Amino acid sequence: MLDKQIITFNLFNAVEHIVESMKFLDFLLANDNDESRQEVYKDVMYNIRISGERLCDLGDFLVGNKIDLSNIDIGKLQDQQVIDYIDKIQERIKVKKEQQTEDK
Amino acid sequence: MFIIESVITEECNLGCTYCYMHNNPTTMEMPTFQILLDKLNILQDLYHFDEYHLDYFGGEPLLNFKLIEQTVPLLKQDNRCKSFSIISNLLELDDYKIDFIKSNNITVSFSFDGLWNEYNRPLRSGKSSLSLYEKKKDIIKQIAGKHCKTMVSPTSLGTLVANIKYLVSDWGLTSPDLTIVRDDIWTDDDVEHFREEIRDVSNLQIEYIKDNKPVMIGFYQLYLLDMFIGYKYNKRDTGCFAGKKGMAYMPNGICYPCARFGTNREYPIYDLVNGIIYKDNYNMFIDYKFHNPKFFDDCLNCVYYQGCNAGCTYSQMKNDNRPIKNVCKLFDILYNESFYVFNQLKYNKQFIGMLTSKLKEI
Repeated sequence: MLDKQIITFNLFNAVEHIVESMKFLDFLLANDNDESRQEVYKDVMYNIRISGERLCDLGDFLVGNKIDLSNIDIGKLQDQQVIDYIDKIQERIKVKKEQQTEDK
Repeated sequence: MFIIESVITEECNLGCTYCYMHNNPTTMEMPTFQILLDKLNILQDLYHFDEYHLDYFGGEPLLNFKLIEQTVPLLKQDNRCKSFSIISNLLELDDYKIDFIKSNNITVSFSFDGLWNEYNRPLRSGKSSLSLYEKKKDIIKQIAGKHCKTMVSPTSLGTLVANIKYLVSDWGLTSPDLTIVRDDIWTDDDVEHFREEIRDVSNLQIEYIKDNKPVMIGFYQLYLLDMFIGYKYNKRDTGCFAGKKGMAYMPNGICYPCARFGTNREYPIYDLVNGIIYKDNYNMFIDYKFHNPKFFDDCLNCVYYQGCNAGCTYSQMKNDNRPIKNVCKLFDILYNESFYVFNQLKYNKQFIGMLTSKLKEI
């Protein structure tokens, strides 16, 4: 398994490229009046947007941003479960802050 | 659920310093509201919803109370309308309106800045609205409940604690929903002042709970719930409902992403009166990601990415599709303070019970 920092870096880069590509397509959409090409741009825009969304989801999965709370039924939530999970979230944020400080 | 902000008048009896609405002299007439109901199926197809919630929004919606009276029976008959409410400063209330609101079980969201009304929310005449609120306190309290929406701006600094005490003690508003104005109006000095003062607010929150007073200041509940929900269900698709999960219907019969876009007449989505769709704008809010915090560079690297919903979409679009730097700093302070309050009170049954029950409502 690659180091999490490398994964984060690569995913972040990939998303940035997608956003830049979308901006370029947006420019083309605004400036090229040819209808057939406009349709192509829109299709590409749609596909690239989906790619961006999937990359973000992959990032959540690989980098472990998400704490698994799937076993919790919100309707039957217990006070202690809320305490445990907010504690976990705090810990996760604390670690991230420390990583960011080290990176700087 | 899909949200419709029905702006039934853009006129207001107040001139709040931070308000984004422009007090344009436009008021919705009954035929325009009827068009919304008649053509709602078009919006349902565009946004794929079966049910909706409608807010009577303004300006000050009670200035167009006649329309509320005329349209509430229609909403009650519409199976697609699951709930409706009035967003109001309540200064136009009288016994007649109270009877109508109570008899129709209409939810009211009370916008009230407490002591800050003195200088933040003058009447249109320029006089203080605070003295008018004091005069009308008894009548307003009949329907205001325990909750109010209170906007925190740089001019609030120095009196945060005093104002919360005023809202809780003088008005019995035990759920003051304090919300920071998320526009680019906060200087670096303001942010530092906020940082210095907020700990006193946090300690006041702790004191209330330890004294067995069921007070929950909006800051803390909101930010803890945001994080919990973000980690449980993943980051939200959009920062706010604008143009994706809701819209504003303006007095001119045109739908906009939200009331702020509407009052500025920017990015119209659908002209229901004339049957014109602004497809580029519609697609932009449905599909594009430039104004979505999920894709903001600044957000992707932020430690609060998972739960934070960033700021106001309109403000961020005006900020070159970036979150506003000092608003992010305020969020950082508020997340830290929310965890501070949580750590002090997590074994207090009343506090954790309030959080848990709120989560169950969601």
